[in-house]
Amino acid sequence: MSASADQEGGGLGIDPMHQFEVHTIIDINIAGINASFTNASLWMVIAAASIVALTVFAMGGRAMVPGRWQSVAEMSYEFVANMVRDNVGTAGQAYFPFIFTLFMFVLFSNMLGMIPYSFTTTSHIIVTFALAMFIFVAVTVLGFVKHGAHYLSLFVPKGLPAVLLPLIVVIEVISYLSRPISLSVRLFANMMAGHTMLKVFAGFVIGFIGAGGAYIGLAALPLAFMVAFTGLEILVAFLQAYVFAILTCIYLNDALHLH
Amino acid sequence: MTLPTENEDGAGDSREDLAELDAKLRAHAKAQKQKYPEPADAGKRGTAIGMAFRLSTELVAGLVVGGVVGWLLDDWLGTKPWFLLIFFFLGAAAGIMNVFRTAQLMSAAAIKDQNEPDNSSGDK
Repeated sequence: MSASADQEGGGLGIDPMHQFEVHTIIDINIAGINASFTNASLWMVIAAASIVALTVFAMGGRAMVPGRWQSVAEMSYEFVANMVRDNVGTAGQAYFPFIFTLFMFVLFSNMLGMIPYSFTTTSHIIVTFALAMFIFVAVTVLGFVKHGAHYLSLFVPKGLPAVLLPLIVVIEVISYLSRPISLSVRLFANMMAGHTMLKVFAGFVIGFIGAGGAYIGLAALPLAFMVAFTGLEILVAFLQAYVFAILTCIYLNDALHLH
Repeated sequence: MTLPTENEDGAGDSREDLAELDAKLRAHAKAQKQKYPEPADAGKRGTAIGMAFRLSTELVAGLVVGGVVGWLLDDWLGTKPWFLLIFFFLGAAAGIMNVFRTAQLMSAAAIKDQNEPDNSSGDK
């Protein structure tokens, strides 16, 4: 959509949600299931390819004194390694590859979404929910494998009077089931809200300029806000990847070390 | 910051050199920090929004799951609207419990950050 030049106040001719539209690039149909390669798939592939490029090519030199790219790769490794060690302990080392992959994928999806004309895969709830659901199921299965039926004691706090038992256990189960929802909604809502906000304010700039005359000077206000907000969005992109990974660590810790 | 356990390559004495350099760097960073202390709320403003958002999603997630469970039970047993009502409140309780636990984790992390400030500097 384009902004009509005579629109005053701006933004009305621009659809801030247009950026979230999924469109098919290659049509694939397997047994009636729409498995098309879309722009969302494309950006996920780009994210995965960039991570592989960073970790494989940047580490290719294996220099004792790392260059810029090798530093970035080593820093991300150490950052996640510390996160796993602090939150899961030494038992978590075995799950480091998974947490690292998860963190890098979310981080790269978020950061690639900051590039103009790109597509933010994590701004779609189905993407974040699939990730969260996978974590939830994996952690639950892991808990039962490690502890057997004893894992259910997670739902029974210690020193609980028998009268309160049925009530508290139901509340604990609901709280446990709410994990994938809060995990996925947090990431998706953060990314979507930020990107929508950026586009709305971009619409104001175009609207003011389109209005012409004295209004053009006013366009500086939303533009300045956008510059500041872009910085905040980059922080949010990192922070949300961090929160997503650290919560996975906490859930993993619950499953490995029953209290 | 370099972790000694992760240095795979390098002979023994180069590792010692690295450890020495690391110790010097840490001492320097500490001295710098004392010389130019960061303002108390530096970098906290962005995370404050994040914290608020994290807490609110925890609350809403509890409510949503409680509501959905109640609704499904009603659908299954034909007891509209009783389970929805009961589980809505149970969900609210679960949500509040989630918020409480998350807040506990956050304050524990904040206390840890205060006690060992040089640990958090690596987290950008």
